[in-house]
Amino acid sequence: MRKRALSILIVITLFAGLALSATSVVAEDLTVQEIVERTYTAAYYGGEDGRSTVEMTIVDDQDRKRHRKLTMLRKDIEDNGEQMYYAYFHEPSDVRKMVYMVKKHVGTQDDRWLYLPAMDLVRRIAATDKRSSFVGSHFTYEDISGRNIDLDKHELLEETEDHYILKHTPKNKDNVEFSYYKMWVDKDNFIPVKSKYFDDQDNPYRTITAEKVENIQGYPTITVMKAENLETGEYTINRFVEVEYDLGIPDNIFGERYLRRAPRRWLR
Amino acid sequence: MIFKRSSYLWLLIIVVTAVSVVSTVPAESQNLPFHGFVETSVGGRYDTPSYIEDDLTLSETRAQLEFWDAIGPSAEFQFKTDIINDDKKDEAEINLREAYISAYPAHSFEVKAGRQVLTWGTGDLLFINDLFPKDYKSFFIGRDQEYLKAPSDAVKFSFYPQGAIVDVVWTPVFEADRYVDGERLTYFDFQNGVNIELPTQQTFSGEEPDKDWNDSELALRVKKNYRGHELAFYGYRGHYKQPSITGEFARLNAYGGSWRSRALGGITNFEFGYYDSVDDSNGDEFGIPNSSVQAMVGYDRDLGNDLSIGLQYKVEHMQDYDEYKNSSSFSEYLKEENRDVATMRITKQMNMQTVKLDMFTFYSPSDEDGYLRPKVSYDWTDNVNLTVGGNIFFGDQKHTEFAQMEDNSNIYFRMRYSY
Repeated sequence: MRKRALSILIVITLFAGLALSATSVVAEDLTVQEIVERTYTAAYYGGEDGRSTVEMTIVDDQDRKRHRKLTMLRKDIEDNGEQMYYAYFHEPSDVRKMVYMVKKHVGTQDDRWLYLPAMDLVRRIAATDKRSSFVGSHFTYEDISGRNIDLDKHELLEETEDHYILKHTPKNKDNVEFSYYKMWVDKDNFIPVKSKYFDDQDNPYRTITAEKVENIQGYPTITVMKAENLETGEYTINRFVEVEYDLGIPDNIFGERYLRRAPRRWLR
Repeated sequence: MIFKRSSYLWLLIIVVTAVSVVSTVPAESQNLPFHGFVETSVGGRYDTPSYIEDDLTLSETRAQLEFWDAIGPSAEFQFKTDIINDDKKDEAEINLREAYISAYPAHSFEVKAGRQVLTWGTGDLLFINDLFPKDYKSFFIGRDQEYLKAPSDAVKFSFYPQGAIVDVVWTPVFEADRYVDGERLTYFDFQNGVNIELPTQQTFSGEEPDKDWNDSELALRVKKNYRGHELAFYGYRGHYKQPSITGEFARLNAYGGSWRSRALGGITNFEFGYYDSVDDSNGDEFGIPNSSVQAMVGYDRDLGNDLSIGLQYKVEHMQDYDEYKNSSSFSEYLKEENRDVATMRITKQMNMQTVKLDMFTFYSPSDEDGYLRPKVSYDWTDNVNLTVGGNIFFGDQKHTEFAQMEDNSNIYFRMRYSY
């Protein structure tokens, strides 16, 4: 059984590797939409499912640091489509064992739950503002689980030797704080290595950068990511450790049963 | 005088020193086998009527210890206790908050046995089908919201057939709410028509049911999430959780249901229940609550920029109102046939979510009384939190639920170090 799993894994890895090298060969013929879709897949839909522990350091303008640590499970229903997230908090201690669960939908609002262990309370969260801060960091909810690609108009501004430089302009500016953002996408693996957000006066005020990209089980993975407020110099660094893909996480992990009792086998 | 007692002052000094020392140590270097917090809280009335002896309603230092460990691959245990030095009661106490074993031996079966906190239902600080014990005393004097839920010594069996959840909770010995009994908080005495405060030794206490098999509590929930629509049905066999005027915990059977889903750009919930007062089926027994139908609807919405609002409306319809009126000895202080209450919660987070403003308002149109719970909380560091809040009651009549608490209106302050 284990042997078989291993050989499947090897095949998948090889295939993924082949697929990746293939993409860079045909890259020149890609339409903007295709680039955007592949980027979205590479950034948010690696593998069928995945697990990582996020170590977050939030630094304010006086260099004071705050820490967050959470383990995140993810399972895709379909690539670039529906997804489920399960985030279990380790730190800080006042949110320890809290669980945040999201069923991400396309074209409609997500379903979100929060479990508060001290009261054994499963709360449903009305969170429509995806531009709000994720757990008090400089990342927004959209940075963590992806901004729906249909919300923006996409343009290819430039193609350098290594990068596609894209410009994304929101179709509806009412719900966002930015006027547009530019994204630098690695042509080899479609990882967005940098995003820069601009205000109405064309001034950049925020960046998100992939500080480190590693190949894990054949999937290019951002393992250090930084969000910075250019106006104040404040920033948050996320380190993704113990990243694993294709674990075979069952669907029912993302339900009330395991909100109330953390599935330690999958969280490890 | 807050600092009348020197021991209190010393404790405060120790806590503050400990907090300032430990909070400078980086989080990584702390590897304690248990977790918890140390906190000190002070609260009191800001306008104390002359018949009440003490201004202070809360003055305590509390240390919580939590320990968790796995027992093999399919079981675990959890232990959580509070050690409290209560200056109000002049005593130290240890309160076991959680001590349970949770076992999941089979694919679709789990059991959780021991002291545990239990919650279900869809309301925000309003309850219909959640008949697990609540600690209203803690709630009204400004302890952390987690203390609203009192623990139960119970066994919870859970089954998971086809994506549904079936929970059966058996509480062998009836566990009452921790209700307002005259200690710390005054209540309205129907007999004499005045608000009274009682000394610790002589507080009002209902006569709890016997420790018999047929006086134990049984609670059931069947729940299913169908594409984001959370549907649940509930059943309960036990007793009213608070004593009646005559000090009786009357028999109660309750049935109900709830629905919660994404709707109208927010979260909408609906819950209803029927409280069957078994020993007073005609509604003419004085001292036993009448059967009632209860329903509530709620709506929660995120307005953006870390601002959110929650609205709820609940109504409780007494079934045999004429019989109740005729049987009551206190015709001056009758309850309404339809008691309703509306609530609004506004929360706003600021300064990278380290400052949280929370305002919860209860208002009862039928009783014309209300209860405000303003709260400001600041995460000074990852470990240190400061909270200031209030419990403000108002109303015109003497006997209604919130109005009778008016003399207990208080403000409180809390400093907590979590580790």
